[in-house]
Amino acid sequence: MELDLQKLENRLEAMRPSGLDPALAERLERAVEGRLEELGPEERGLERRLAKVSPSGPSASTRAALLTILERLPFPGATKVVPFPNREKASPQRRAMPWAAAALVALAGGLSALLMGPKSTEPASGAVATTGGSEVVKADPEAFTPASFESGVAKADDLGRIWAGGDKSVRVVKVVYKDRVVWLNAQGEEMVTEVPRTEFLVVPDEID
Amino acid sequence: MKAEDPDNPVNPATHARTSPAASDWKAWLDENGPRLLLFARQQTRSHQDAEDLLQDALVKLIDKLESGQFSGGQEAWMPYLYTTLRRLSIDLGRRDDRRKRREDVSHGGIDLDKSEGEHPWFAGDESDEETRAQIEAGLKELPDKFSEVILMKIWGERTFAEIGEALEISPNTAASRYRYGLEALRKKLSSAWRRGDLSI
Repeated sequence: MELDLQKLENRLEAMRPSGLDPALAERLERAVEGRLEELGPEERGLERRLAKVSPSGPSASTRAALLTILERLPFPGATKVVPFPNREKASPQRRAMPWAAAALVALAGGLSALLMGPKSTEPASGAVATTGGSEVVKADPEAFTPASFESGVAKADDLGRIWAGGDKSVRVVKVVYKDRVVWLNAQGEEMVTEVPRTEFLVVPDEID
Repeated sequence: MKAEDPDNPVNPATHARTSPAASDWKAWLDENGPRLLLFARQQTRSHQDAEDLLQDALVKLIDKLESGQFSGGQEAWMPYLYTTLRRLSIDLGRRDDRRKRREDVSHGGIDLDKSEGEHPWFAGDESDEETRAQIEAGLKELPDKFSEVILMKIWGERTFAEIGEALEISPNTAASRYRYGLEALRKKLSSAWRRGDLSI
């Protein structure tokens, strides 16, 4: 008597596949959440300890043979680069045009800085690493690459009018920018650096 | 007495002139040779095979650079070399399997390389020899698919994307194998660590 196909099919349909292994379930959850590359503290600790052990190099004879192969080509960047000779210093008359253009740009930035006011009164900060929570940890900056950059005005002060000569006057605006760089490493850890940058803008002054 | 040429200094050890290009290659090889060799050793059955593979891979790189066929800058060398080592090891494995089958039929098999113990995977002084030996043994006991990712990630400093490309797996699979591999290695090293045989 042959196995009834319909009964077999019914029996198979009634069966359910095994549930996921908890480790696999966690792995899949990490995958869909984009957290596969994150390591726990124990794993990071082991990783750091392993990285301190150095691999052996090739034998001396092999090293010599490899160098013979490599030295068929000059190493990139090994050739000397002769810099262009220094450009002639611009005469005072020729500097007027670049000054005017810079002043126009500075006017827009300086006036907007005065009107907007400072974004933050925080003092300049050094490298501060955050792990997404409130804990602040020291991070090895060499393991991080820049992910984003932004620059904003932290403070702007009108230092007053100065006479540039004859009947021309200019206003000097001191603007403190804060350049903010977000760094990320392979583990997804984030480090933020904020560096202040001070610029003095010379803005043409309107006189009646 | 000849005046000293700053572009072609004399090596004080050998009294031979060392060109800047040659010394740059030395520096590059000293930095990257060990990590490439480590990966090659994991991929092959012997130290000699690993050195041969490393040489073949470097020849391929230089050939491509010379012919102008290499795509990318210097930052692309290491990913290319890891991928090439991987492919060469697969080819070598296939050749070895075919040869082994022939030799098994003819006279009973290939002797293991008895000199493997003379070529440890990791360098260091006598004080941490036990630690290095334990780590090497732990890595060798791991499934290849885990140990190759660990070697590329920790000592090769490759990203998961580069590891995936070299091993022809997705970056996510590379990341998963790395975690599994680290966990498995941690378990293997735990008993030695508890005994105090590990200095990490």
